[in-house]
Amino acid sequence: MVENYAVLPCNGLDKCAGAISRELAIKLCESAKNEIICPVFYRVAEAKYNKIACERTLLVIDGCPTRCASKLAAEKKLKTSRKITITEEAKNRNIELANNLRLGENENKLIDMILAELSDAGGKNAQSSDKVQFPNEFEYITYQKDKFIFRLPKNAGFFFNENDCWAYVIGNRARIGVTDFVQKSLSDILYFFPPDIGAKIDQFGEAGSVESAKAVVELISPVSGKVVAINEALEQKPELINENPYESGWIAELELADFEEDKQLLIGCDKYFEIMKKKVDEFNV
Amino acid sequence: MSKKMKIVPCSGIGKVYGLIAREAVLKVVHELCPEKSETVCLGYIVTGDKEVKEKMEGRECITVDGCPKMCASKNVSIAGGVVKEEVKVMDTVKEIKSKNYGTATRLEADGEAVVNAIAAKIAGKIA
Amino acid sequence: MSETTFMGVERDKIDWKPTIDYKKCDYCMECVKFCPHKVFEVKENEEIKLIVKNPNNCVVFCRACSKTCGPDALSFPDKNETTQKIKEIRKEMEGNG
Repeated sequence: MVENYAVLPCNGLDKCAGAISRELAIKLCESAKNEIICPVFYRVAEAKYNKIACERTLLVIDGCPTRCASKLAAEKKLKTSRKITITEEAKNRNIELANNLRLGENENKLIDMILAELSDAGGKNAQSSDKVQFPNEFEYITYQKDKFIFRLPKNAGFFFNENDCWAYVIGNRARIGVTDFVQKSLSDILYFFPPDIGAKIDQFGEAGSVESAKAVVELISPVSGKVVAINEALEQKPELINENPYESGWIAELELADFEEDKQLLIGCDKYFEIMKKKVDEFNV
Repeated sequence: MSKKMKIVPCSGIGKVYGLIAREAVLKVVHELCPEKSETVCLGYIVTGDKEVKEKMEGRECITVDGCPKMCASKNVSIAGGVVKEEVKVMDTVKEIKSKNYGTATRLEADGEAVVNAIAAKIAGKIA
Repeated sequence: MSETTFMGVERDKIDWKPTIDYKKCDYCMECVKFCPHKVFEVKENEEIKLIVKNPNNCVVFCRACSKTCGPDALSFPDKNETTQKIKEIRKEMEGNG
């Protein structure tokens, strides 16, 4: 069950995606103990909504890339735990939205899918409403060279830089780590040096490093933000990075500073896959 | 630049009267007077973006508010729009008395009747 | 081994390479042993025994060799300036179709 959310949708008057944003927000608040924030009334009734927004986990829903709801949340300096943009959700799920304010079959399907996903995350998240729940299993595409298999998660939300590091973004949080290319080229990882919790890291700044008998490799952060958690399990078992650098081998969790800006210099799975293949082919050790 | 009359409903999230305001406006701009009227999203107006301010500055608007907070009327004025007519859903609700207009997401028959009556009034003011 | 582009930008348009401070360098050659990209070259019989031979082989934003340097003789450009520069070049490229 999705509970204890404050839901801030865009007003969604004149576009299909907006109508979906609204409908999703209302459904969330009709069926569970969530509270809706009216994006217009918030401007005049700040005190009332500030309380709701601060005490609960804030979910911001935008219909389209005009991002009216996100802008409002930023202006009010609210801490957003989860952000949804309907047009992107539709694209990620290959759902084509009609150009109509009356919701049809596809639009309702999308709403149900997002509701189900929120519900999943909410259930696992019950104890701590402040934390974002990161899924721990992903789908992979693979590239094989000799006996080595290089995996790459293809789930939406994964971004890469050309320094062989990944970020998995949910709302204003991201987990970061290294890719299979780093892990395989280092072979057995012996030490893990985490970044400091609370440290502010720039995009392409160093966010810890890993070391094997062969070399030390820095994690060059794909995103900018503040370190809010590190994967403590790695201190005892750095080999988790070798087992799976995307799942149990993640390195740190960041509260994002400006992901829209960072995104300009990041690439998706398909593009990084090509780069990784080239690197693997050139790597003759 | 479009010369169409801008009709702006309140956001109306969470209450049936808000939903009535929205539906009435959409009926006017899509069905009754598509040539002469258009709507602007109030959620966008309140962001105060340069583009939306240019769009509103000095333009004649009809606002439709679901409750006495008058969010639509107030915010259109703040954005520089000229409120030519303030429509209040409650005025028409008083004319069509009912125990059940519907909910924030779905209108019942009496709610629909209020929507139609308000839409007709607005259309009359545009023509 | 060298990358020809980084983030779609030609590598030689991006200024990213180590600079050796010869006042500090003691020619321990740890950086040479470390770097797999052949950025450095050793010149045994010359007065200056270590040079940055292939700056464009250097992986943009990688600073790992400086960690191996005991006397702290290696420095890199400002990361944020480099990021900005890459963004600018990408914008220009978009502008040119």
